[in-house]
Amino acid sequence: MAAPKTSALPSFWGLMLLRYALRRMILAVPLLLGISVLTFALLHLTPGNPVQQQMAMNPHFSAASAEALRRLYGMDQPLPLQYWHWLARLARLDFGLSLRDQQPVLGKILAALPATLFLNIASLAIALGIAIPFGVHSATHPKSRFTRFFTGFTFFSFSFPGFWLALLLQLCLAAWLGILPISGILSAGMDSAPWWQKLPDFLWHAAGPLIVSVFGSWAVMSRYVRNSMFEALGQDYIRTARAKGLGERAVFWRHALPNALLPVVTLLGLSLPGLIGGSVIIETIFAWPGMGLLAWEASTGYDYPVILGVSFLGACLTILGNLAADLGLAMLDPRIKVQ
Amino acid sequence: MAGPKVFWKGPTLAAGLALAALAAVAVLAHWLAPSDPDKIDILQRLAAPGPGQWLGRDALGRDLLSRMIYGAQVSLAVGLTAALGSTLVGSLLGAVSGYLGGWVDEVIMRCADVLMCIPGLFLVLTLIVVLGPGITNVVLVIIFTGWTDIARLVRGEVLSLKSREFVLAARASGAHPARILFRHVLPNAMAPVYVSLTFGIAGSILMESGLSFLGLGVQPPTASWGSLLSDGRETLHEAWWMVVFPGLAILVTMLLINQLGEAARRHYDPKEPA
Amino acid sequence: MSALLQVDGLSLGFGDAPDVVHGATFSLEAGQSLGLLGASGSGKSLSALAVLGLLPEACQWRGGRVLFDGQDLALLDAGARRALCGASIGLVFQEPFTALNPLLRVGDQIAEGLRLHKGLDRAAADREAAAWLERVGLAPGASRARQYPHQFSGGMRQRALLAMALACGPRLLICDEPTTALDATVQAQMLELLRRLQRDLGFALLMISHDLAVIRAVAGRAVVMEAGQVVEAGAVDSILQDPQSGAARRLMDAYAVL
Repeated sequence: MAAPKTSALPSFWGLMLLRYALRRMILAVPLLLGISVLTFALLHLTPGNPVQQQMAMNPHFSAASAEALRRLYGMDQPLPLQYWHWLARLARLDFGLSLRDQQPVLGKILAALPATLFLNIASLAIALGIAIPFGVHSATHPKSRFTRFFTGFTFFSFSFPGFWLALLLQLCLAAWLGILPISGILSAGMDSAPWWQKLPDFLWHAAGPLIVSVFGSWAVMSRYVRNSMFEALGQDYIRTARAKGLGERAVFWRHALPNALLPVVTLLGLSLPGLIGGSVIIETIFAWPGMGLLAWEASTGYDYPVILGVSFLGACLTILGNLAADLGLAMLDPRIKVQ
Repeated sequence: MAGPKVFWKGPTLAAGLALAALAAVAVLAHWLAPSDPDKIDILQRLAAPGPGQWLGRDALGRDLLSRMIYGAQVSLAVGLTAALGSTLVGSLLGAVSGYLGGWVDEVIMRCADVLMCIPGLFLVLTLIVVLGPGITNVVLVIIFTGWTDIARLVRGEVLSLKSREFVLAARASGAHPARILFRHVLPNAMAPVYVSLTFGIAGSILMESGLSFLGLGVQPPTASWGSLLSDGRETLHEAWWMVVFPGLAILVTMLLINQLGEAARRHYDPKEPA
Repeated sequence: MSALLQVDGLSLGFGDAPDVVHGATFSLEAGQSLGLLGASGSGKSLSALAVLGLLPEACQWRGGRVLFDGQDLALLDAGARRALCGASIGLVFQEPFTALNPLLRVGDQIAEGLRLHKGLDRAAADREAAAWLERVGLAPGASRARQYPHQFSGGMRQRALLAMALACGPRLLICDEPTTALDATVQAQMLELLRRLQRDLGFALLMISHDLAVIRAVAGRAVVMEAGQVVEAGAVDSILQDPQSGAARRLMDAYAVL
């Protein structure tokens, strides 16, 4: 909508957009620094430190070894220096080793990331796919019976605790009826199966988590879309369009809908933290091997390198996502000054 | 903005009364619970609902109904204190931030930005790792992570009120900034606070249930609706009542509180389509 | 010769409330100008919206009729009425800041009507839209047409809206408080533009305003409305010198203070 028509301009436009992106990224730096300070503070507030834990686990741990370990972790150094080391490690994405199984934290996170991203992105797409038509319909037909039912159902859905739905699904569909698997991402032995067998099995396992995830978010999104559409329909330019003699269809598709969908892009931006961190409970219930499950295992096991790594990386992804949403908005809305 | 009589009509009134009844049950748990919630009775483990255990028994033979009644205490207490705490902290910080502007505003808003960057439950879980599990820590964590939204809202209201005539008049009269903030600005900025508080109670109850479900909230043998669901998860195949009833309690409470929240929102924002 | 626009005993209302427009009667000949003078709430805007069939949904038509070129507008179906809008009757509203779609270029919004009513293809409509922008004083037309509404000032937007209303060559132009949101110098320019365009294009003009000076600048005759009723009618200058109705006198007092 906002891209220039003549062929001479696209590169200029692209350049301006790039500068806009770079400026936003620079603004993100203090944010990242703030998060590094926060994680550092939390790191030092956790009860017990690696040396104490080693001593607790190994009675033969000598005082000399403890001292060496202390120097290794830099715990004998002044706090600002320790923070500097922490910052350097964060920049390398070196979160240390998991206290549970001594595996590198970054590796564990990267292994868990795809499962979470798939779950949350698919859920967002499905929820939007339901929310936009429903929301638009209920804004354009405010008095229909369908709209009244829809309003009630979104309220109910919005109040429904997601983790209860997950348990009920497990109870009814898995335990009683056997339609869905209880948990996991693939059936036993499917790891080495060819993709045409693996994919349906994967989707079958994903059904439960997806249903719960979508159920939790579509209600809020529908309400948002509907309000946005309602507001767009009440604007003066709609009246102008009608005064020009445009039919309802043209008024809707050319004038109302584009303006109504802009806030949805903003909504997508706001949903980003949820994309990464919103599925902790769902993943735990369904044993879905994503970042949420990783975070939960870390929190019950006091595996603070993992939980700090998850938080920091999650924050980085959120910042990147916000940047993407900002760029998207800048491309779609000509009012945003890209200069 | 309509008055209280219009607010408390029909479904809203019913929801309010039901919630009051629920609160009463929680407060009077000691007298209303049919049996001791912690009393273990192995012989009766996983007994189905019936006379003597209206909602069934858990894996240790404890009466589910009694545990749920005491669980209501936990949920409502945590919900109320956590929501009140975060609303208070958020409103204060938001008001100060909006009114004073300058570096105070910058610092507070940057702090809020940093907190809001860490997605979803990750921050909550990290804080629980640092502080340890337990109800008090759950309340503290909810407050620490929940103040940012209400702070933003109140800051916005204060910013728009700051340049209104009555505020300018108060400033011209030489009144102390704190006095102006509390006597003139804040009372007019309260509309989003009431709405946010109501939905905040629902959110806090949900959060506490979720954390207790994950084992990070109440510690055994204390019961919370969330922890009861977690217990039920272990015996999913044998005892459906353990999964159904506590969850139903959470759902009903959510519906009631959200009904009040919706009514509050319509009350304060008549522009919004119903 | 029958009038181009004939409003006979028009009555409108909302819900159970009393009429907001009651028995309004006025007429306008082709190529002539008529002022519709009244304070806010007098029902003048609603009367104008009734002509185009753009009344809000909650508004009921309680009586009277509107004839355009001898045709009873109430007898037309939605499609026929839409064909009138823009092509035969143009409308300019009060708020220039919100009357244009912020996501579309100004030229496209003018071209839209041209393609709909005059069947022009995209290139021809774009050229015509650019030409119209120049006609209302927004040169160079081609580059102005490619700009977005937020890049125009209030006065410029109102000119663009005027171009949009006139692009398909309507025989009647209705202006509802077109200058109220603009400041004084811009107002004067706008009215001068309106006069010039009417001279050149020959459309009939219905000017709605609470400001008699604005009406006097473009029209010789006026009708005064108060509380939904027509309380006075006649030449603008005679209303000015010798107001008969209380409404006119009150508007005159406000005028005199300035």
